[in-house]
Amino acid sequence: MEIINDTLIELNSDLQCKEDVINRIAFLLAENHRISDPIGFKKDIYKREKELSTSMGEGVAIPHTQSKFVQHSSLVLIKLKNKIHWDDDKNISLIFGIAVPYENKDNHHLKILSTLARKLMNDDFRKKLYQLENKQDTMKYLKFLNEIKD
Amino acid sequence: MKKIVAVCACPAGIAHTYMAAENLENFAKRKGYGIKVETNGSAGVENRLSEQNIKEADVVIIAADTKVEMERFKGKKLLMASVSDAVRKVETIFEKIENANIDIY
Repeated sequence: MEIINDTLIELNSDLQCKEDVINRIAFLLAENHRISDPIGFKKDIYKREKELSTSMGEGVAIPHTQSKFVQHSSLVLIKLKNKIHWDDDKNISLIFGIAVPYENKDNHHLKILSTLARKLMNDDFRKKLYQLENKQDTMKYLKFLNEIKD
Repeated sequence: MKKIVAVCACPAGIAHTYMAAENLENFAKRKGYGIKVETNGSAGVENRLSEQNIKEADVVIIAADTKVEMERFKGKKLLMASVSDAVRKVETIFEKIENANIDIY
């Protein structure tokens, strides 16, 4: 199963706060049959947020969890119309939700996610993501994530 | 050229470890340092520092919020930082390396 597809991308979203964004991530993952229990999944996401906020500056947050409620490693991209607060950060508008199964024997997905994490530190990569206005182009730009080989 | 070795680790080991590693590598290269960064993520240890790497290094940076194997750095100049420092304020880590006396571990 591919780690990201166009149903896991939401652009021009008018969500207003961190809680709404996390609810939306759980909803999209559940609708795509990638998590078994949205409530349990959210609990695990918040557990991770409590350890250390996942806002990374530069307008980006990456809520993530390795959870037993995750069935398939997945990425959700949400791009907001307006900037929101994410704990101490006040200007978050690009969110990658990352879900990895707890019993993850597959290092391949972890490799994809580490590649994404590294890419997010790259100014040009973020700039391009902010600029892309439709799902098709965004998916095309992120397609390399589905194509990473071991 | 100053040589740096670093270890990055974070609780989940999915994202911040690698962001920190990427940032340290890019910043060090821009500053003209040699650098090797070991990542302790949920995929296991990658780019492991060899004895030789550690021996040759002028400075060790630990950017971690979880336990890291530390014995191997005994006697080295060592700077402890959090993984989020390396993601968000990497320049302050390098300022310390350039200006301050770093304690020996």
